[in-house]
Amino acid sequence: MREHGDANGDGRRAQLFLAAAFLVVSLAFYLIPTGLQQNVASSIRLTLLRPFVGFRSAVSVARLRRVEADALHARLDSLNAWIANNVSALEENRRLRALSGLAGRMERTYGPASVFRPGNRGSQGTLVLDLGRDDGVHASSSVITPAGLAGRVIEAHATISIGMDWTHPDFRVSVMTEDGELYGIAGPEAAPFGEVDRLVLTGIPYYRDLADGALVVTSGRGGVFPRGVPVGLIGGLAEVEEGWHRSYWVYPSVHPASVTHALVDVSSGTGPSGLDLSLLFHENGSPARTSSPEAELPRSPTCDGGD
Amino acid sequence: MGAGAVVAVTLALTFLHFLLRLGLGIGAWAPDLLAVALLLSVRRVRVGTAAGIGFTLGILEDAFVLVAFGANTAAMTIVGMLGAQTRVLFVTTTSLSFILVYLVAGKWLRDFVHWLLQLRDGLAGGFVESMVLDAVPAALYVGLVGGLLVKVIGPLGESES
Repeated sequence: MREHGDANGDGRRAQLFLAAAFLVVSLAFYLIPTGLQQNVASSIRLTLLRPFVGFRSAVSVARLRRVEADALHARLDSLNAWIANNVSALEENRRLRALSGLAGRMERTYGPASVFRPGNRGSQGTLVLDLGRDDGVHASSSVITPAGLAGRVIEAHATISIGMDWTHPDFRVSVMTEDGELYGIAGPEAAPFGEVDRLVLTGIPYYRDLADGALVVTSGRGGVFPRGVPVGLIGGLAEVEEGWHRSYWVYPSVHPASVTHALVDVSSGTGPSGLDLSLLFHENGSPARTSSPEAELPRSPTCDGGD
Repeated sequence: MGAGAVVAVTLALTFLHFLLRLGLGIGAWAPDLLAVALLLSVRRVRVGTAAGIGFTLGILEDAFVLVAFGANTAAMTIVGMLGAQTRVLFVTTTSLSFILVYLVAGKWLRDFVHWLLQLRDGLAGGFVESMVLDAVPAALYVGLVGGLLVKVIGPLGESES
C-alpha cells in the first residue's frame, strides 16, 4: 500500500486511467437496469455480507426469546378463544360447501419471520426477512403484521428474503373501503423532498366522498396481497381532478420502523386474491389487536378466507 | 504504520461497520466506519488504487439498496480519488486538526455526492434537511471517531511519505 512516492509519468497515467475506469464502472452500475443491479447486489448479499445477516437473525431470535412470558400467554389465550369461537362456523362452512358441491376453500399458510433493516445509506424501504425459499417464501409473498400490511417480498433466496415496505417508491397495493364499495390503488406519496409518511389513494370516483378516518384494506386484486388486511386510515383529500376522480391521503396502519416480526405468506403457488383476512383484524374477533404491534405474532398455521 | 497494519485497520473498520449497522441493527447511530476506513487508507495510496478502494467499499454499502443502486459506489469512488489527491493539494502533515477537517469534509462530500445522485431519481430529501441537519452531524461524528482512532493508533499514511 506504500505506493505514493514512485509516481513517474507512465505510472501517473496508468493510475489516472485506473481511477477513471473505476469511476465509469461505478456510474454504469448506477445507470444499468434495476434487474441487473439487483443481480450484482444479490451476489454480494449472499456471499460477503451473509454472515452479518445470519448474525442479525440470531440476535433477533435471542431478543424474541426474552419477550415476557405473560405477554405471550395473553396472546395465546386470545388466540385460543378466537379459534374456539370460530371453529363451529368453519365446520358449518365446510358442510354447506359439501352440500352445495363447492370446492374446498383455498388456504394460505403464513410463517413468522424476523424483520430487520440493513441500516445502510440509501436502503430505506428495504426489509430483510429470515425466511427464504426453503421455507416457502416466494417473490411477491405478502408481509403482514398485527396492525396491518407492512410490505411484500421482492427476492426470495434460500434462507433469507429481501422485501420492500410501503415507503418504497415502487410499492403499490390495490385497496378498498372496509365495506368493499370503493376500490383504488395506494402507493407512497411522491416525495421530492424525502420522508414518506403516508400513501396516496388514487382512482376514487369524483362523485364519491371518503370520510377522514375511514379504514382502507387490501382488496385482494392483483394476486399479491390477501383481501382484508388493513392498510391505513383516510387522512384528507389529496387531489381532485374535476369531473374525473379524487385522491386521498392514507395514513398507514403500520409504521415500518416498528416492524420487527411479521407473518410472511409461505403458501405454495401465488394468487391469494380469493381470500379474506379481514376477520383476523376485526376489532372484536382479532387475537392480534389485543396486544401491541411490536409484539411478535403467534405462529399461524393457516389463515383461510371466509368467502 | 506499516502497509499491513493499514490494510488490517481498513478491513477491521469495514467489518465493524457492517457488524454495527447490519449485524446489530444500530443503523445511523453507528458512525460511518466505511467512510473512516476509506478516508484514512487512501491517504497512502495513489489515485487509481484509491478509486478501487472506494469502489469496493461503496458496492458493499450498496448491496442492500433497492433504489439508486450504485450511488454509494460512485460517491465513495469519487471521494477515494479526491482523498488520494489531498496529498498533492495539501502539505503532507500528521496534524490532528488537519485529519479532523479532512475526515469531516470527506464524509460530508461523500454524502453530498450520494444526495446529488439520489436527487436525480427524485429520492433525495431537501438540501437543508439532508445536507445540513443530517449530513453535518454525521460528518462530525465521523471526524470524532476517526480522530480518536488516529490518536490511538497513529496516522495511517502521512508519516510514511
